[in-house]
Amino acid sequence: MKRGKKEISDKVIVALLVVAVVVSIFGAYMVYDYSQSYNSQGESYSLAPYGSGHVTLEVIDSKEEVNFDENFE
Amino acid sequence: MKISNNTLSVLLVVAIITSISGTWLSISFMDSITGAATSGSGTTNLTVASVTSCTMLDNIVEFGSMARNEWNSSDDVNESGVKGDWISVENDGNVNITILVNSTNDLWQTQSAPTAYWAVFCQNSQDDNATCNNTNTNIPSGTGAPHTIVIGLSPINDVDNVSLGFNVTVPSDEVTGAKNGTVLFTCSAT
Repeated sequence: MKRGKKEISDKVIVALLVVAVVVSIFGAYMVYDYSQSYNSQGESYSLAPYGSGHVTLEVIDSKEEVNFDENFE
Repeated sequence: MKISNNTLSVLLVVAIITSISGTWLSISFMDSITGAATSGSGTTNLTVASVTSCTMLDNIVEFGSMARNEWNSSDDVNESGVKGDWISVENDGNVNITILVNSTNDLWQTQSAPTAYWAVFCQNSQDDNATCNNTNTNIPSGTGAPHTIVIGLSPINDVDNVSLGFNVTVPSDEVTGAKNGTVLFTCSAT
């Protein structure tokens, strides 16, 4: 007895569609990532040939005599 | 015309196979870029670009409270219980550098740079081959010729750091209050 042709369900179609989209996106990413490995020229540096220094102090009206060397142990 | 699920599934499988094949072909094509070694040994030529750069590891010297006519030095102040408070500059480029200094914001209201009331000196260099100018020098103004304080500082780790200090004397007529002077350290290839 000949069996009838079995129809693939909608769920399987949706699953295949999802797989197709994922594979397509993943493949595009792989190609992009691989191509970047060849592009190593012209990398920018965040370095700078200068910098600022600061001096701070508080000028007061009068002060007890302080010997900095004696205060240091 | 209605397309059956069977037809759709065949088309989707073809799409998946096409996508995978396309990715594989693209990556294979990149692998065919010439220049890679094809035998047991190969030669790669490259040029490392020169980079001139310096970083302030410690960029503040705090003298605390000072009275008029009082003098103080970076060598004498205490920072967190440790004697000495200096500016620390590291050569983080890949060439020897010269460090220049000038002021961008005066420390005093009554004395403009260059003034003997505000001087800079090189306290120490990790690099014994570098020239560390330890003479107290009045800091030039922003429009004046900068002072060369270090020459030939190495970029090699552990010998790429210098300590720079200040000497300050409070002018006799300086106004009471907080003072903040700013200097610019410019690093150039030696």
